[in-house]
Amino acid sequence: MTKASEVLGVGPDVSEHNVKVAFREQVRKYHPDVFDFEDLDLPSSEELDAQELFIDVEKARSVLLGSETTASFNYNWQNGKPTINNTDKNSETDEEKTTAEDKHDHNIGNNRSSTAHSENSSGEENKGREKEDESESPWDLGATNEGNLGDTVGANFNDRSENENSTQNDSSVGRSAQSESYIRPVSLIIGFFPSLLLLIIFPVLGPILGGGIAGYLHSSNSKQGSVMGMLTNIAAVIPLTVYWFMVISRPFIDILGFFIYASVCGAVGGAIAAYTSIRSSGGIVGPVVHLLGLTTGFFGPLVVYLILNEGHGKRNAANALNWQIMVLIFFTITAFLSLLLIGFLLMPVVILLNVTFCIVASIKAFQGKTWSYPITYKFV
Amino acid sequence: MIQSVGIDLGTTNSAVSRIVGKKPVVFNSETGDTKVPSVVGFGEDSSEVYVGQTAVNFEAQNPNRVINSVKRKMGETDPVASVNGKKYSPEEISALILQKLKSLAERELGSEVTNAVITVPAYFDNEQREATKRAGQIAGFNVDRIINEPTAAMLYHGTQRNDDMTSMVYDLGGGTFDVSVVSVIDRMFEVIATDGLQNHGGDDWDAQLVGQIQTVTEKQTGVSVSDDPQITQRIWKAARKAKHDLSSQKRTKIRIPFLVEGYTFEETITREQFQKITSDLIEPTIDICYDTLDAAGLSKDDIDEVLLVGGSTRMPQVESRLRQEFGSRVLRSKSPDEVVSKGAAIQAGLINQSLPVIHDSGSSVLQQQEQNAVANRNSSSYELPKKFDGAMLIDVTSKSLGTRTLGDEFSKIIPKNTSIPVERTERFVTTMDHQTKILVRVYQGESMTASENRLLDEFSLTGLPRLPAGEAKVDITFRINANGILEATAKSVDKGHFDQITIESSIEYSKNEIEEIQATLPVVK
Repeated sequence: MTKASEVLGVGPDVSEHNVKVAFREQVRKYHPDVFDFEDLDLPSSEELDAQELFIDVEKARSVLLGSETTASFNYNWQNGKPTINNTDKNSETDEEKTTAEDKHDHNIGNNRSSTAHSENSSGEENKGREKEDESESPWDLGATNEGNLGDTVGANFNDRSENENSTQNDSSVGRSAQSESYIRPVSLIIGFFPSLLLLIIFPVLGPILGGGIAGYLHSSNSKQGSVMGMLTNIAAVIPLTVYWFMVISRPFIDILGFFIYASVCGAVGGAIAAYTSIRSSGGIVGPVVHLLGLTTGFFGPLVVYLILNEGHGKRNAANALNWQIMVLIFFTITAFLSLLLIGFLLMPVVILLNVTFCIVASIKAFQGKTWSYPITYKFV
Repeated sequence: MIQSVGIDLGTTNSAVSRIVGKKPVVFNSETGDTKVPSVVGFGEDSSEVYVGQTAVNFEAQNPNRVINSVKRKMGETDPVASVNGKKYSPEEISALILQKLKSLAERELGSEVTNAVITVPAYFDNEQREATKRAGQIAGFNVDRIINEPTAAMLYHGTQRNDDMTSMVYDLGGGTFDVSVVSVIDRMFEVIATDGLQNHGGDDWDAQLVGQIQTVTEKQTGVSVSDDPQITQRIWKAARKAKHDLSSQKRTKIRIPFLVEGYTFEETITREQFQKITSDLIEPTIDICYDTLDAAGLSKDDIDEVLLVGGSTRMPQVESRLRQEFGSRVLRSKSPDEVVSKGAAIQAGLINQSLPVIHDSGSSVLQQQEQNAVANRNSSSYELPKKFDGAMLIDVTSKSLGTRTLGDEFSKIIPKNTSIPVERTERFVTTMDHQTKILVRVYQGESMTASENRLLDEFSLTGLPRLPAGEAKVDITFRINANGILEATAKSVDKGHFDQITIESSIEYSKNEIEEIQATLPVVK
């Protein structure tokens, strides 16, 4: 595998200035405008093409100056000179380059062993096609986004001076296994706003919620209130962590992950709420159930709704439940619209509405009123 | 014998040059001027066509049959003119101007001109460069190279000076504005960064003045004058003259006799007044200068000199505004509208390395010049003068090239300001399970949103292995050769499965097609 430093004929620890000097020297020899076989002591003139040579030289400079990370060259170079015979056993490079058609083949073979891209793949189905469909529908590509995960590529070239040899000669298996963890931006975006919201809300609302409940149960014991809050936080962080992990490792289960997360949170929140409601006459359930809806989706209100008897608490739970079902519907719609790029804009709107409505409903409930959410169909 | 010339195909004026003896010389037109107005006029008869000064004279009587500033339309597919039943595309109009320059050069050189290096503004994208190249082919040239105008200017200036330096070229032409930062080390001209403004040039200064004259006329006579082409044409002419006068005089009188029936426009304008009404036009160019310095990774102090190029830099306010920013490093060329074509001539010389001797039927002045400079004029050609030895130009891409990825994102493959020729490969992955086909759209531009950039071409790669999303990999390679032609290749890299499609994102005309187009065009004399 030809190294960038060999193309320019410089040592591995070369300074930026010397790279530029060496580049200019090579350009003098290999630029298509000036290239002359007879002036240079080159192996065989017919198999060298000035343009390909220059492309190698330019690429080598970019690699050595750090603006490029891949290094696959058209020719094998030694000490600043191209060699015709391929001495690299691992390379799949075919050195016959007589026609324009086959010159592109060179890159691939070399790429496979040298490219240690970190690949953040991204995915999107253009127009709701079935997965098995092999029809004429155009598909989008995922973009590789170097360095986002900060793994092998960066390391490769930052440590270039010390261990260029070892990194480049490593078998590609281990490295590519490391670097092939994919993130699809679309799943991040679908999951991102809810996740961010949860991350923000839980540390804040957890103590308030837990404190409120504990305070109610234990006659304003603030210490136990904060302990309760911490426990709620931990309960929320565990499924959140699991969810993030799943998104990063296998993008396509992010929606599943969200459901698991929501179920666990709902179960925890529901249990707390149910416990509260059984012990109380229902006065605090009203305000709590709306915030519960904000954090757990429709699970919390549903549990509360099923457990409670008729009264102020149950009416509020029904309202919260109806609204959360609507929110779920809105999210589903926006998730699909995301494929058409409109959803990204609508999603924050839904979130904003959700937060606003829940807080309004909570305050109204605290004042003893039962506030019906606007634009909501009464499912129960 | 290759006879190659350098051509500055400008928005308002064009010029053609070649190295004669020891230095590049701009050829005179029949009016004795080095500038040929980039104006094309069509007569009643379909074979009757006027280019240059004759077209300008023709315009006074037939403003509707004349095409100005066709360069602003380059790269567009819509016809710019429909004359005598034939529609003319921008490149065909440009080809007529180039034909004029060709015949002019042939008259001076006494032999057929076969090749040309043509300059374009640095901000021109691939499409516009291709259109310019096709215009050259239609005019009967083998287009050796399309180079950037500021780079050409620097090539001329740098070979005169023969020092190592880092320069900024400020090129304000009739309809274009470009900035390039060029480093010269040991006669190697390396463009570091380049930028420009589309459709921003001296014409805009004229337009401000024209607007003023129209307003004043309407106020004084109550007659609307902006719709009548003949009146508008006269106002433009007067405005241009006033602008030119104000470059050498402090004040000038604009007089247009009988502009409207019974009314003669007569006003005096001072340099300060003109500066005031056009002050908004300079500031954007200063911003671009700083943007380009940023892109080059340099600060103001790293620049050894600022070279003013283009006819519009004759306006004193341009120079004084730049002196405010860069002080005494601002240099003004004696002939700012010739340096670009001279630079192109040097590039033509560098590519072909030898210069054919001027034929006896050519210009006797040039023959004399050659006689004095060249020792052996008896052979059919002579070598490029020693002072250009080893000079070479490394140009850069002026716009980023990339492809569309998920969410209409623009993934750059070859970034702006990369030296050419160049090849870059990026790896992409599929986004759906069992995805067997990808569509590669080639875009050029700077917007992060792919669809806001210019779509050059698209092609698809089929037959990818059926793998889960993100596991089928595709390498997309873009390559730009020394002539600026772009090729895009996509290749599946899984399990030894190599599949590839190569496109050339340009409409390359075949010889027959060019001949067909040539046959439909009138012959320029």
